[in-house]
Amino acid sequence: MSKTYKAALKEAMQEAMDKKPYSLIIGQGVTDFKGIFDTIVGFKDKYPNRIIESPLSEDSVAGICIGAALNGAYPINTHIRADFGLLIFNQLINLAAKYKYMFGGLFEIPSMYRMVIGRSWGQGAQHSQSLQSLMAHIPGLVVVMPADPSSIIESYRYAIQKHKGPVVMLEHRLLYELSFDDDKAKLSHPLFGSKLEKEGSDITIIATSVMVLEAKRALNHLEKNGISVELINLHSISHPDKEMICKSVEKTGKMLIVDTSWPEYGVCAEMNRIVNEYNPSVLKAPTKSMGMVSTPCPTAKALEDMYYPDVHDICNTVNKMVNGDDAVIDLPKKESMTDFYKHFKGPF
Amino acid sequence: MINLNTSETYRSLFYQAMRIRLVEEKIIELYPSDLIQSPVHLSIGQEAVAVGICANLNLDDWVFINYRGHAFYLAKGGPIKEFFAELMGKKTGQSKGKAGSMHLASPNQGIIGASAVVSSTISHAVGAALISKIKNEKRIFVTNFGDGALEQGVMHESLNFASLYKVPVLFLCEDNNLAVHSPKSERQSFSLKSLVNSYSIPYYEIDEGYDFLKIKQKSKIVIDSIRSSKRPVFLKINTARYKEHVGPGEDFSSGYRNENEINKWKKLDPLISNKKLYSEFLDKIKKEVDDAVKFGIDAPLPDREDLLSDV
Amino acid sequence: MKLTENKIFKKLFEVTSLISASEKIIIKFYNQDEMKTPMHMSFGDENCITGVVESLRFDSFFFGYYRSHSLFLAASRDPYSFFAELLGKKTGSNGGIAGSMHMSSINNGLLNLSAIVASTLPLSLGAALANKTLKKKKFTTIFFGDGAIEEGVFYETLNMASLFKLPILFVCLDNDLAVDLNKEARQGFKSIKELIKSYKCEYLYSSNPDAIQAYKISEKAKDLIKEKNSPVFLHMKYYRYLQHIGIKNDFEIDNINSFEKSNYRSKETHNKFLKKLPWENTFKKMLKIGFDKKELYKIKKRIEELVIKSYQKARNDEFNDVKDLKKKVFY
Repeated sequence: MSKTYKAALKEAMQEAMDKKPYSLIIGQGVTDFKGIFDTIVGFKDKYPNRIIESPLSEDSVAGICIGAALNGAYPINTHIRADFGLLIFNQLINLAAKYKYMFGGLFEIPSMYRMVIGRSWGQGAQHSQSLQSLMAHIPGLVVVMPADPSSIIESYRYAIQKHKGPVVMLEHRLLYELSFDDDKAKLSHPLFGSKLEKEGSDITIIATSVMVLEAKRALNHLEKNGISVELINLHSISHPDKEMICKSVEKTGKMLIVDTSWPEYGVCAEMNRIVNEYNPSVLKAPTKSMGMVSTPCPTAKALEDMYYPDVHDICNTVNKMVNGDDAVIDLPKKESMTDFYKHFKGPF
Repeated sequence: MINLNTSETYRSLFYQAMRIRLVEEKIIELYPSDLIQSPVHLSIGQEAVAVGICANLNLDDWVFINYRGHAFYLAKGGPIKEFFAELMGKKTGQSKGKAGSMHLASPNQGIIGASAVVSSTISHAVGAALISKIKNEKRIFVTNFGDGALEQGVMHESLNFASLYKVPVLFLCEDNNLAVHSPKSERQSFSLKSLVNSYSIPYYEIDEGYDFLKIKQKSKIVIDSIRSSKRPVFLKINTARYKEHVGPGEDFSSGYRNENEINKWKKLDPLISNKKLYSEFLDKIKKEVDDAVKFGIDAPLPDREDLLSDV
Repeated sequence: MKLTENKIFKKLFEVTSLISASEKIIIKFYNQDEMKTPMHMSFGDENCITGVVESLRFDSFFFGYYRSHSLFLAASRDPYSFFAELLGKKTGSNGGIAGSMHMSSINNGLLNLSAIVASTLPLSLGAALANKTLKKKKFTTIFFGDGAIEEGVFYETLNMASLFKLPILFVCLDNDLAVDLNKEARQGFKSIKELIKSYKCEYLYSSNPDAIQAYKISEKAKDLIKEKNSPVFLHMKYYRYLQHIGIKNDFEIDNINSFEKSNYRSKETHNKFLKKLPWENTFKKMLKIGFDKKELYKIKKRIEELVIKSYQKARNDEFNDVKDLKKKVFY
């Protein structure tokens, strides 16, 4: 049975409102007809008083979420672009993340911050950032990037029903409309784990969010060319499954990280740290990192297409890593993910 | 004066304010010994505000305070032994020694956290009040901040939200005219009353920030109105910070403010002028403070387990 | 004197016509998917912005927000680099890197736009502070929507502008909406006027002006700034004809699951404003002043031809290549 990413989000939100007492959804646009890209349409009438439209006051709204959590609510704060999430960093990082520790365990701030990563179609520098590394760096925060509907259902349920602290969910705009079939692969933990998507022997690819999809496309192509890829969907950015990662790289000897953001000081860097501190001699070749080009995101499509790695780039890199720099295989054509998935025509 | 000295209310308020004063003075006394290794933003001169306000609050009313939090912590009923243990960074401190002076809290007495980032807990009060209204509770939420917080954008966002959603919050501004060393005239260019009123939030001001009785009486009306109407109110109480911004000393020699201003205030300060009551309560309070200090000194240090817990 | 005034009015009419024609081109060709950038259309604010920019173009820098088209065209009067930018071409005003939300025209004083609501307010404050400190005669004009007033940074900026007595003109383009939420749902304050009056800032108001009215009130604002040496807040109301973003209006319904469906605006009000289109208001005012109808239509036609030619030319320009991707990240 297949389900879209956004349908899973809607299901998760529905469950939150029905099963978690005093859950609130608060943010800019939560009561409008667009319903945060269709994930909470109609909620305003169904749950009066609990869907709270906020004025344009991100900082104080994040603080309001903390206050509400202190008084027994479960606030879900939405940001239609992760870039606007930067405006809540004072409350999120100086307060929510530290509240339990700073007061020696007297308080807990169970809360969720949903941020949508924009991409393509001229989103530009301020509507396309993927800020998982900035937040995963902070002790006290849980940062998750669900890459498919079943991950959504499982991790949102756990965060809302069980976890007693702040959780940042980074959702990818490109995934919203896509349909996924039932998942055979399982998360090793809803918030503190990763997912082994496919077993393989020649190379380990670790991917985040929408890049898991692109890696899967690459994987299919590579398999036809005799390359066996082990694919890990990182899922929890702040608390990835280190054992899964290290055991995998130990098996394959090679690691490629494909992230949604810039390689420097990010997920790519952290994966390298994890493996090296485990045992650097498991690596039989230098590792490689793929992510956004290290510039702000340009609006022009011609440039934007160069900005993100795609299935062609992944296949090319994997081939070289496995078969050597001179090896040649048939490569899929260079095609922006957004053109391939063809559904996202903007404007937002 | 003699009448007041026999009034139960006055005596009780005086006792509490004096208790805070003596705690603060004890901290000054201990500071050179390095027993307290935490920056301290002392409440000396501002005790009456906390005492007068808290006299109208119930146990389950919440206060959200800031780094200058000793007065409110003690006035709202925060345990004094654990207070000293906390300042000394001990395992049995209020927050296992991890908070220090700037982040005092005691949920059992409704002291819900303090932050070193100016104005950062104002919106917390609004959020707690918002859900309180949804739950149909009968309590109120006080956010206590200095005049410096008035310039912060989040102040306005919070006033806007509180007004829009009509939540039972008391915005309580303790105005000592200073943000560290800068007076209001160098930082603010607005009429606070006009600004607050434009949010349809009632604005009140109390000048006599040294007079705990007057504060109790006047703030009772304000607090009762919040309880009944469940709508926000803004109350500014003018007060005076006797000591330097942070630390146990005085800083008049640096020249950014006039000692005469504070001397004028001190003349009106009952804790200084009412020597009769002061001497009547001195021994009892001193004993309580000394016992609390001993508790703190004797308390064990936190260990590695404490370092890693509560993340 | 009258000759100079007439020259100004003629310019106002030309610029309004330029904006109107350019927006029409975008609406016509957007679905061809060559302009791949989210657009916050200016259809509705042409008069306000034309009037202010023409009045202040030699006296002020301009800072704006993502609803940029009127501002860019009024400042630069250059439809060619405008379309080239929207089409993502090398020859665009910002080399195709900026798109609709971040255009600039530095030589014409348009310094900065941002997609983050209210984020250019402190920048304008800094520019004004620099102007005062360096004793430059220019002041700073910042355009923003009514949504920006809810952001805390607005108050921080207003406080400092008022405290430091900075020559800033705050132009609030008020369409009552933040995306699709009416102000009653967002604003707990009684009125913008009352808020502003709490600061040491002068307040001026204009509702749905034609371009000449907008010009005149902007001149008044300019004089006030120079005279009082304090910031001025110019509150201009206008009607947003289209959706927050994109070229549809709120009354077109494609299908039930359309992203663009809505029922939060009044059709009655919309129809009322359809009868009072901004360009037409300015046109009528020009007639009233004494301009010849035929001449005005001639101007309109000339500008429409210029606009379509600019668009076609820009379409054929080159895209960027990979060399351009990494340029200009650091200085």
